[in-house]
Amino acid sequence: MSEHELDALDRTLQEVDRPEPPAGLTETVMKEVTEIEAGLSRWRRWRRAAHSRRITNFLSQEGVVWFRTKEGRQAAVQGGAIVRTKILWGVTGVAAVALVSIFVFGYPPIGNSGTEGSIGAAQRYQGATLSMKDVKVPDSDVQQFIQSDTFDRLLKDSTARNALIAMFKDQALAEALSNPAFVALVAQPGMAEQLADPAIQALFANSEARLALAKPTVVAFFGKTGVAQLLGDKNVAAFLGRPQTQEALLAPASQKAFHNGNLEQALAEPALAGLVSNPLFKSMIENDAMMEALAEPAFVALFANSAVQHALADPAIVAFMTNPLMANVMGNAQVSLALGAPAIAAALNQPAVKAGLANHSLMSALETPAMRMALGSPANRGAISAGISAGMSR
Amino acid sequence: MAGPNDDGVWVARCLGGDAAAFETLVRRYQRVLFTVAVRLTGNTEDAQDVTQNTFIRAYERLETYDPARRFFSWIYRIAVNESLNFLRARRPHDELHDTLEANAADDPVEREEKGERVQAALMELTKEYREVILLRYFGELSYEEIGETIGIPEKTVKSRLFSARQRLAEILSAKRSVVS
Repeated sequence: MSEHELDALDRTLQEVDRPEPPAGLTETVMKEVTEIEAGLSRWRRWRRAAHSRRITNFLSQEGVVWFRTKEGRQAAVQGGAIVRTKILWGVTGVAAVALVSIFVFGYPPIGNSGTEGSIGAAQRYQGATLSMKDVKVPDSDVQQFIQSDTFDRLLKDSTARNALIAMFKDQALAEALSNPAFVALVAQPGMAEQLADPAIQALFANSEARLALAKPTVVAFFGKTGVAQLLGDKNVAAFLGRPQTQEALLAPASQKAFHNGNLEQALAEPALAGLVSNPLFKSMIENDAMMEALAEPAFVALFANSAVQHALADPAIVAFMTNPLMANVMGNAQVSLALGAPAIAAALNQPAVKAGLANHSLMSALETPAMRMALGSPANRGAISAGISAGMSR
Repeated sequence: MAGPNDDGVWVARCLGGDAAAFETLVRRYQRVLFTVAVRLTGNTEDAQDVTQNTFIRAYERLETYDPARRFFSWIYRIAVNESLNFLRARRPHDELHDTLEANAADDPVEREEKGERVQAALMELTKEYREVILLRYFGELSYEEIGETIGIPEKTVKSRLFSARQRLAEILSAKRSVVS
């Protein structure tokens, strides 16, 4: 095809009419948009407002620099010196994780040439840190993490970098983050996005939550394979980001529970990790009604109750909760509300009730629609609670 | 085309609950998106539906917009997907017809015929070729902006556009010879 013919084509294309958008298109779209906005749930509004703040923060940073990626796509970062500083902080932060992991925990082992005996101080630190007993991380995890796409993504993603920097600024949390279990946790797919989530950052911003998260038992719990995989799931991230979850986690009663040894004991129970990594548990936390139930003061109080915490650490209760049928039942808001009643909470710790919970027919009964309907009535819940209390007192 | 930072400000306002702010974005991009939709679907009525759906989908998913990318690139992808979904859903016996209106030119019949020929030729191009032609000639985007929008390097845009023009010229030439 000659240059002349191509020029002729260009002229033809220039001469072709450009269709005008139909009159009223803007008005039609805006009418729909107004209806959509009015119909947004509280959760969507909160999430959209959070993203709005993220965009505003991004744009308000001095010197947003637009650049071209390898694929030719145009992208932006907060510019110049800010970016360099943040990359430096990011690299320093992750290097700190690796170095603290290697020198404090002696993990992963660096050769066996016999030089290890010459570092006395390191030996003392090793002796003082017992969390490795609880944490089983494969030798190559730290190296794998540093070489992974996740690590690469964390360094390239300005929001994730900011989140990491904020976390490393906190001494207690930085110590917790240096735990290999946490490194393994961060290496999970999807965790980078979670760290960048404003809701998670808000959680880290709470000093009580930070103290709780820094506890070795808590870190070890989150480092367990099933739990770590669960945390990498985007639905779980959404669950943690829900205002109701945040409200429940940051409630004084929950904070008190975090400091209680019984809860730590429960977290150390292997079966509990099995419960939360159960697919049914995921479907349970995605249930809107369940979220409403979680935000109920009675439910928060349930977990703050020392009797319940004792019960949660009991193998019989854990076995009951880990039963797939039970996870299904718990997904029902009425059932969870009923379980949140104070009398039932107290009853859970009774030996007779524990024995009853181990009975398969009870779970089958709880799963029937009739029982769910019955539990849905506040009057019935009160009556059941009173009945159990009376039964327990005999 | 307005600066990407400016678009981000309007998006942030919408996400903050100010739905009226979206009107600025609709007015800014309706013409180019409507043109793209017309050229992809083949008629103005379908293109109107596609353009409306594009803006509505965009508003619904606004919280997934990444401010590090240009707003137009993001909404353009939605428009292309909407057009393709529309074409897939269209019944096989529905004919492609071009109802583009000719403007008041000296020879409206000739202009209309030319428009129809170009439209028919465009529909014979591959999706990749059609895309760069649409964005260059009807979207009036620079090479750089085209590259950013469809996620390819600027050099590839130039070479693909050259090949697309050659193919389009061949198709138009063949149609002319058939007519004559």
